[in-house]
Amino acid sequence: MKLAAFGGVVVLATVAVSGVSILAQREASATPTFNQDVAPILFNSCVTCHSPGQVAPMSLRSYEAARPWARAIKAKVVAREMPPWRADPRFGVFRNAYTLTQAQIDTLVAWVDHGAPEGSGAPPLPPPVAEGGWSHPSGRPPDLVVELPFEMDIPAQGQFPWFTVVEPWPFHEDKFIEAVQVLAGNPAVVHHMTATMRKLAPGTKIGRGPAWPGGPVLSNIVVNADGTPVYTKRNQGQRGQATVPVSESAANDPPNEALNGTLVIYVPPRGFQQFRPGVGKRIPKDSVLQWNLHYTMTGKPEKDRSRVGLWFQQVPLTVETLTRSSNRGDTYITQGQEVPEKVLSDPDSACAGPCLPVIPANEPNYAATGITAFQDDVTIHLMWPHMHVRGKDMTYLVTYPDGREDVLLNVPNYNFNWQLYYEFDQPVKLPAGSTLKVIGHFDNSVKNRGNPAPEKEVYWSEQSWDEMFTGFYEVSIDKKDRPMTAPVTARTGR
Amino acid sequence: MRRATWLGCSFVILAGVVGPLVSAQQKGQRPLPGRGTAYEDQTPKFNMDYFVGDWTFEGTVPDSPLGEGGQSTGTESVRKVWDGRFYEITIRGEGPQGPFTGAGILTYLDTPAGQYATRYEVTGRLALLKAGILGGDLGGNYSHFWETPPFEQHGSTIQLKGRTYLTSPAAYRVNTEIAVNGGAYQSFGSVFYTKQLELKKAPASSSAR
Repeated sequence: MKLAAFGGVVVLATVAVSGVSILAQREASATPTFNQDVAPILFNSCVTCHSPGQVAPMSLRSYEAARPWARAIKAKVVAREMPPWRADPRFGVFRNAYTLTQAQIDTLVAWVDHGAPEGSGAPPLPPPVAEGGWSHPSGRPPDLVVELPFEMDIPAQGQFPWFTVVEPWPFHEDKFIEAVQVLAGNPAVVHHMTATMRKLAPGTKIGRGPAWPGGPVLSNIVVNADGTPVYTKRNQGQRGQATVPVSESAANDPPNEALNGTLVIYVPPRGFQQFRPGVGKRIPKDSVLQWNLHYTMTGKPEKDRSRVGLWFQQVPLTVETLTRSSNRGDTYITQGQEVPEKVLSDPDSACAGPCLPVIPANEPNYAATGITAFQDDVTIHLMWPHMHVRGKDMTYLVTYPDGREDVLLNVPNYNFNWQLYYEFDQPVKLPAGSTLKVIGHFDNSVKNRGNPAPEKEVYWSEQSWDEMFTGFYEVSIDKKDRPMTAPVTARTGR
Repeated sequence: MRRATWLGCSFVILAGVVGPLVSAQQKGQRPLPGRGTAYEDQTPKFNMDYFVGDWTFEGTVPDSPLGEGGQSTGTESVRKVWDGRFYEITIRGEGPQGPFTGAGILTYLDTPAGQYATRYEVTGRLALLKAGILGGDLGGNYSHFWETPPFEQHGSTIQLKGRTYLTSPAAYRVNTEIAVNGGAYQSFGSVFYTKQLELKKAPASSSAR
């Protein structure tokens, strides 16, 4: 960095002393500098992640931090690998698109090619960043932080079953949130983590017990009234019901019952979600926070203690969103054949989402489609494609009642390590009678650099070496839009 | 040039760690064909033959006391030597300082306490020893977590650590962190390796050197 700054001084001095020339002066003045030209780009499009404590491995918030990475920055932006935005630009306008214009890329390239000078004057102030990895763009810390009730020990090898723990909220009235974040304590081992609002099933309580049959004994496990553990199918135990949806309407929506009450889902690289003003989620006062935990082995013993941060609404709320996806109960087609209901809803499977026929070994382009019909006028706010390491692409295609079709989103190069959400700049309204097709492909060949075992057929479960086919979206039901309870601004700490 | 050498060494070391995966993957993670994995299943031992073959690499590192940062590309050939107990590594690449070459050796140790891999590589005047634990999951994803002893370079005391993450039989990546003069570890970039499957089939492919 000193070297670069020194180089810049030398260049300027040379020009001045030689008096050579207007041409040289023009070149010098045309050279982008960090303070004048580069910082505004980085601060606008990069430092949300590239700040201390955030998901990116290096900070770009200052010249000192960014200068060593200058050549890497050039390589990544020219290849359009950074900022990571995977939506096909032909479809949809998204509020959270972090793409760079060609002019911005040219500026960054010119800066690097001219020695990455710091420039004179002071750079603009970088946007605020909250302490401790919280991601609210205002820099405001969460109003409430709830920590996993224990530090989880993750063994070095093997398979860690998906499991849940619950804990009561530290408040006694409905809360409305405008932003929520799951902050992974150890991102290396957190495959995914869901924070969900649920209610304890009748006859159960919060107690101490094995997390799954034969698993570690933990606190904050749902147990029966007599203290015996309640296992669920997905915990690989006998059938049971630990928690139930927070609303009766959700109970009447079996395909999405499991998703009802979802606050936020952490997947690499994100766990933060902020709603636009007036839109948010309600946390019922009598609900509990349910952690759905899925750890993955890294090869060495690890620990994790993750946290959930909530930012409460500060403006009146009129739209309450729900997390949905095409799921069991919808229509599915794989490789051109409709999937029979008995396969989709196999009660003995460990599927998360629909159970589909296995993906054959070495299959490079396994096709799957899920079709959901809407019986009410709804508004789609954002979409989040979710597949595992064989995931190749995903498209959201809507068919309106009059037969017109629109591509809402196309992610042609899906990457498990870059699971982004795509929030519409203007939410899309779908009239009753519309259908949403989620179309995806999977690459189980050796050409897929993220595929650990192309010679194996692929099953459907939450383990990342198995597969999921889930086109998540945030939706509101238009007839339910109405002014909600007054916003909550008082802070409750823990 | 020293920098190029360093880069070459780094690549060599990293690659060495990863090796054992392929065989384990070929043997399969699912003990019973026709079903998914189960909690009770045992993770297969890693097979260092994973690394045998010809690889291309590409990656970007930042400026550091080890040299000027930038993008590097090249090839790495790995073959079994000495009755198959060791793996010899040959590197040819080009980095910000120009072409570089390197050589290394990769070893594997299976103990009751776990599996370990060590990669010793020499590029130019820089020699690096990368050693650490090796493990994986039932899906066939293995990782080598390695660390170097502190070493001197250009007046600074350097220590490296990283994760060599084997994501497929034909690809892995090495994420490296660097600590300078006892400071905190910071990202030192990632290098991506891709196996040359077609080359592997060719009879003359093993004679890169």
